[in-house]
Amino acid sequence: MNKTFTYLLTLCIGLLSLVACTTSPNEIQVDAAWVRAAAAEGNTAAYMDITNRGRADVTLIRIEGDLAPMIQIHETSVENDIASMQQVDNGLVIPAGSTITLAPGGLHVMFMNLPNAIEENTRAEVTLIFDNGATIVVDAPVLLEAPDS
Amino acid sequence: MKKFSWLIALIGSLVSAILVVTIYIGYLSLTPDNTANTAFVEETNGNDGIIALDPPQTIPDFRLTDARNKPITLNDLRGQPTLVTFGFTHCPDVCPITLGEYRKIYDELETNQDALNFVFVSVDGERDTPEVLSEYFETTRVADFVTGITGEPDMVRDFAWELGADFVYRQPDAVGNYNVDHTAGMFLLNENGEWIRRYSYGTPHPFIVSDIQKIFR
Repeated sequence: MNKTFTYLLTLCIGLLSLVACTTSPNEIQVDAAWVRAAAAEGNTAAYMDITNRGRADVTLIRIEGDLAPMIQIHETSVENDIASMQQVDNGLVIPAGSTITLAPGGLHVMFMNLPNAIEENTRAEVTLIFDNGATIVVDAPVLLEAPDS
Repeated sequence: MKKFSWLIALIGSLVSAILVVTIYIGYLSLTPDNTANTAFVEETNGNDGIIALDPPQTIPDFRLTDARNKPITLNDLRGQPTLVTFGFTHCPDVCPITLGEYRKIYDELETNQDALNFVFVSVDGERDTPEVLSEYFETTRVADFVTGITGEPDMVRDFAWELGADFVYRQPDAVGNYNVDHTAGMFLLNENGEWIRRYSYGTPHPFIVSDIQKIFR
């Protein structure tokens, strides 16, 4: 009987820790999103803060929207004063309990081959899809530059 | 009962294993990764990102095309100082940041704003025709004061190299969209068209403005 109790206790602790180590869809929050105004046929970028209040890492695996036929996560880097961009492979990980900031000169959502101009002072919608099943629709203002600059 | 116990033990172990792995991944993600910006910070710490050329460095003339589809040469820029940067209109991040810098510098120069030429040189002459350039300047609200320059990439590169700038075309994607890695800083020429400053990308904005203001005193 004592042995059974130990097993049950192990099971309970195990299950509790499993529950404690997840992130539910409503524990992901997007703030301060904006999209940069751009001419048709060009590329542009969106910026935002993504916060994961859960206890497990989540990965932003896909971004969808009508703005562009191709939307990816890119990161700008400047080395020896040469600017280049790399696609972030395998999605963007938002570690448990932290905020990842997508900001000019660093991480950004990149919209490629824009079919139409994205006019300043309009709004744009993008949908973020995460590996924990969360889908967040972001309605963002279209601006010429970062609100705080 | 014995069978059931084994099942409990198995589930318990699995859950514990998941817990350990999760903690380990969490630990890995907390480990700071500062490698990306190290080089740049070191470069800017010593001199605020501003490099002065003394004596001024003569650069050879060029003959390219402006955003109004007219020929433009170095001589057309002489008579007042000129700020030069390189970029391309399909650049979604760094070039809009630099043009934002241009707008701020233009605003803050106030009475001197029209005594400085602001030049944006396209490193992507294939796509950046004069028409595309001028539409880009409208979208980015710099059309009133920025002079666009474009042309054959090889001829643009000859000019860029004189300023220690360069650019490299990246592989196009499935629909032919490509990026161009390029020097992201700014360059200042004096009223004789000689090179006098390099402002590395990320040089704090107030330093650039006060340095430019010096030449008007």
